[in-house]
Amino acid sequence: MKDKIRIIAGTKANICLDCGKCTAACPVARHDSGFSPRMLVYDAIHGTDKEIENDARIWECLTCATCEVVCPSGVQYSNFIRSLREEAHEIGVTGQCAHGGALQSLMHIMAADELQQDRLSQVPKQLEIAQTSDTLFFVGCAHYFDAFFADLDVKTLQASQGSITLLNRMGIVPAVLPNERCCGHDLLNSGDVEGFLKLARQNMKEIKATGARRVVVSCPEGYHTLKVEYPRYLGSTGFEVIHLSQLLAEAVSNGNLEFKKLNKQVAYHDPCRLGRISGIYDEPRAVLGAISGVEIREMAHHRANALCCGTQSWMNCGAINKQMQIELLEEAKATGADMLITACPKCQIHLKCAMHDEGTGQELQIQIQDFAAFVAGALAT
Amino acid sequence: MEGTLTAEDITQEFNPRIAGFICNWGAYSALDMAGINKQKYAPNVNFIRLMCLGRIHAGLILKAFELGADGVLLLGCPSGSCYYGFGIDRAKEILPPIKKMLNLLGLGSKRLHLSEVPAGDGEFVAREINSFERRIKKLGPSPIKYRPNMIALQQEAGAFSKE
Repeated sequence: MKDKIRIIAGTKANICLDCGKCTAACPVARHDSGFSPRMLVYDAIHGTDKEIENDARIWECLTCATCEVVCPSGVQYSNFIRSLREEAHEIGVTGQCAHGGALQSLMHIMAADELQQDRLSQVPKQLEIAQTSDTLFFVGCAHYFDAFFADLDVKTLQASQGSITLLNRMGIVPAVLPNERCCGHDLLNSGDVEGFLKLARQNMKEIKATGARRVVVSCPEGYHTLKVEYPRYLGSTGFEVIHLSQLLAEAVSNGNLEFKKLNKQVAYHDPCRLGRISGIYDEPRAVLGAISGVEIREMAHHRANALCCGTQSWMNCGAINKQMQIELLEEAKATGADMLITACPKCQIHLKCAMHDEGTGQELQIQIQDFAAFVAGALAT
Repeated sequence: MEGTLTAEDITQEFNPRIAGFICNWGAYSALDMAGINKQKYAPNVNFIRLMCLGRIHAGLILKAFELGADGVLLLGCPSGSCYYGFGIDRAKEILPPIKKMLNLLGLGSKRLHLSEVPAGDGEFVAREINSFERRIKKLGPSPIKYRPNMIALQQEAGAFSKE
């Protein structure tokens, strides 16, 4: 490994105090006694390059940033793990791909230059979209998720359609890319920078062609990747990236959106990429709170302490990850809410998967809906 | 691989690369029979022998496309005559979501075909292979250019080689 010192110093892992707060907070360590973020930092500093590159633990981390919230030294743990993964990827080591590697293949297929996807033929007629516009809506992989996880009754496309409905209601006709690629989040997170760059460059080219000055994203991973990782790797992007909930919160505070009256108690789950990593906690709550008759019941762990949905980048899904998902479902059920709302399509997939598990009892079944889909459904007709 | 001159470049004729996942029992015996009877069938199918078509999953099929396959042919037993009972039904069950994804990707679900081959029917399997190859020729090359050796795919499937 050529850059171990750079990784350790660059992510402030060298000033780790060995206090173990990270391990106390880590959702993986809670269920897997063999995993400790603190020990991983210790081993990276004291062990050989080869040992750390081949360490299976670097793939178990969820990069959920729970440890970063509590770390007194400000160690950038997610970046630390990701940099180690980059090094491991270079020598051909990778995590355990879930779903037989189908989603990894999907991402690599999407990187092909001449690919012409068929993303827009099924767009419902009532949604107004344009080819060029000042505002672009970045859809994400919802089409593919809905097709691939049909047996889990996953409805992530509702979120994309709901987002466009909401934008239309705010008087915005967004551009939607006919050949949008995966944002590359998962490839980057699993150390495949080359694959990420291929996708990122193609997306940048297409976004620039629409002339958009503002990109609205509903998927938290897409939001983080477009907002932070694209400029980091490709330089200034020339457009502003905004999360749908930010736009909605603004419209709600100006009184531009009218909702019908519902009678629902909902629990809101903060996705890692939106909450801890992007710091967006208040906007989704403000929007949900503005719908009359909707009561937000907070789970025991919420905001910066929110539980992770248990899996990342379609890797390393096992019994421990299932336990984390069950824990989250238990907390959601304990609030007495009718519905669990999450802003992340992957949280929805992972939690629905846990609910479909044979070992999961009837007492943990809860309706799960995406944030954008829920808000769009609450619009006054 | 990039920079390597292939037969295609010389003849300018599209010579599709097809990944063929084949069941070890019924379908492979049919392919064997086709060979014994000197049936002619398209030579550009890379067969990957599986113990049962029930072994197939979205990951393997998409991996084939990722590696540059122009088509993926699945050869299994007719429903009801699977050696393990459920294998072919399992394979049929997983196809609709994969076909949907291929349509979304713009590759088209026609590049993926499952054929139920009666055990030992060499004539039938040769006909199926030829008609699939003609179909892929008509559809043209896959937009995914990366074309490494299909051996990587064989390793992925854990298929045994006949040596």
